[in-house]
Amino acid sequence: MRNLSVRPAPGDFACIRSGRVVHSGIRHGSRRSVRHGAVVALVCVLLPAMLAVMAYCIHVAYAESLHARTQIVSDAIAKTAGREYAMTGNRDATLVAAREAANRNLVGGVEIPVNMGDLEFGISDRLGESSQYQFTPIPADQPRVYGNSIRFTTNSLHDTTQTILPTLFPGFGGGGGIRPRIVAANTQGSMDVAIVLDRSGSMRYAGNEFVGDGSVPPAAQPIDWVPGQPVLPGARWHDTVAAVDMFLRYLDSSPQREQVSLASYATEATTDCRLTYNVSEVSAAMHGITNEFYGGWTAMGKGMRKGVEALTDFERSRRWAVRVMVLMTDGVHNEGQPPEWIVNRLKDNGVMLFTITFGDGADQQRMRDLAASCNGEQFHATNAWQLGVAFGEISRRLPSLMTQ
Amino acid sequence: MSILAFESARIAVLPESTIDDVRNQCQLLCNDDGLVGYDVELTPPVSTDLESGDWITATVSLPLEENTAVGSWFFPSNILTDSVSLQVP
Repeated sequence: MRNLSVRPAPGDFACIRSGRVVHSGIRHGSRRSVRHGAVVALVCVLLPAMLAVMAYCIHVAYAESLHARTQIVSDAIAKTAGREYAMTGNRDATLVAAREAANRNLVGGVEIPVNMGDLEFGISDRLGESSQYQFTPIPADQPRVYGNSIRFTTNSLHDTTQTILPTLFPGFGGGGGIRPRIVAANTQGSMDVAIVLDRSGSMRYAGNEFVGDGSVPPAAQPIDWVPGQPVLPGARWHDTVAAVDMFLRYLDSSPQREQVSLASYATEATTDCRLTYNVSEVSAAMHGITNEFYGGWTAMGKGMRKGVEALTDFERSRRWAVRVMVLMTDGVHNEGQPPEWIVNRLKDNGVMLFTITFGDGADQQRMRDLAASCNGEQFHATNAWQLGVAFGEISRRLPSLMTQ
Repeated sequence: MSILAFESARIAVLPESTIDDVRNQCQLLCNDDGLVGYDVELTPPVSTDLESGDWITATVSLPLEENTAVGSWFFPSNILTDSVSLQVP
């Protein structure tokens, strides 16, 4: 009888009954050889399966990576195409721009194909601030109709029979490589723009002329000029009208559906034109002031109030449109409510404020602070050309949206 | 990585943006995803000389060692990079 301290040999099946070790009775040599064969068989079956699963996982990760990259590149293409379409309204030029974006943004080292069939031109709009933008394509047989939105779909990549984006491992992906169908839409946001112009007495002076306290009349002013007559040639007001006309032409030439209003201020402020799609109405209102110019103090706050009223006009303003106010002055506020009092009203109504100071007499820092408090910017001009540049800069800063 | 690069480029083409604005945007996204040690490079560097229609390329890089559990065992010195080019509006 064996002692209880004897331990079973490795690989033995043994059980302990009543304090004894009882061997299973199977011979050690044959047991080892049977187990060795089983492991080899197991490895032969499972290793390829494991490798296949690993390869599949890598394939899925790679495909997802390309999918994400294609989405990013599609966004870049839509953004570039949307910009070109907004600026030119030309579909062929838009296609060229989209291809350049694809060329600069490769997917897996490959340029994804972009053809006219991948681009849709349309109108994106929404019913309210909490609604999603809905894209409505313009029928292909109406190329002269302009929209505000571009939708890019990777049809050429998805529908091709060629392998453009190959898989890492042959056999995965069902042949034809990785062919995601991605959609990206870029929309130029609709805007309601309130132009608020200074028509105080200093606007009668030439751009480079010293105004002082206004006691010395403009050099070019005839001795018999009285308020209510046309403003003098060479006056700042003419420079302003020319720059605003250029700004209006930009708004009118873009495919976006913008509305513009005009308010002006001197001692009092007036709404000279309510929000309208027809920019010629705004231009006509400005020329009306030109032909009947009164001058006066600089009640900037009153002018801003009129601008906000135009942007929140219940009958004409669009609740979902981006609200922009362009406030122009050549002087310093000196009448009525200070502009800072109106800022909260602008903020409450989501109005982005751009300010333009013209000439050396303007309080640039104050206007800069006003603009900054309403998410806008301040521009300064010392002559007519710079004034035009300032309005051009503002038009560049107007927002566009990725809506899909 | 592509999203980081796209967001960097998107911020870079905005008027008056600076490299700090771009880095802040990157940092926000990296914080969300627990990524560390990123670097972003703009070509050309953001400046006021850029005009409408110019292109900016944002290249973002991340060290593999600090941001992966397994990958760094095999490629400890590798750096992941991705870039996106956008047009100045």
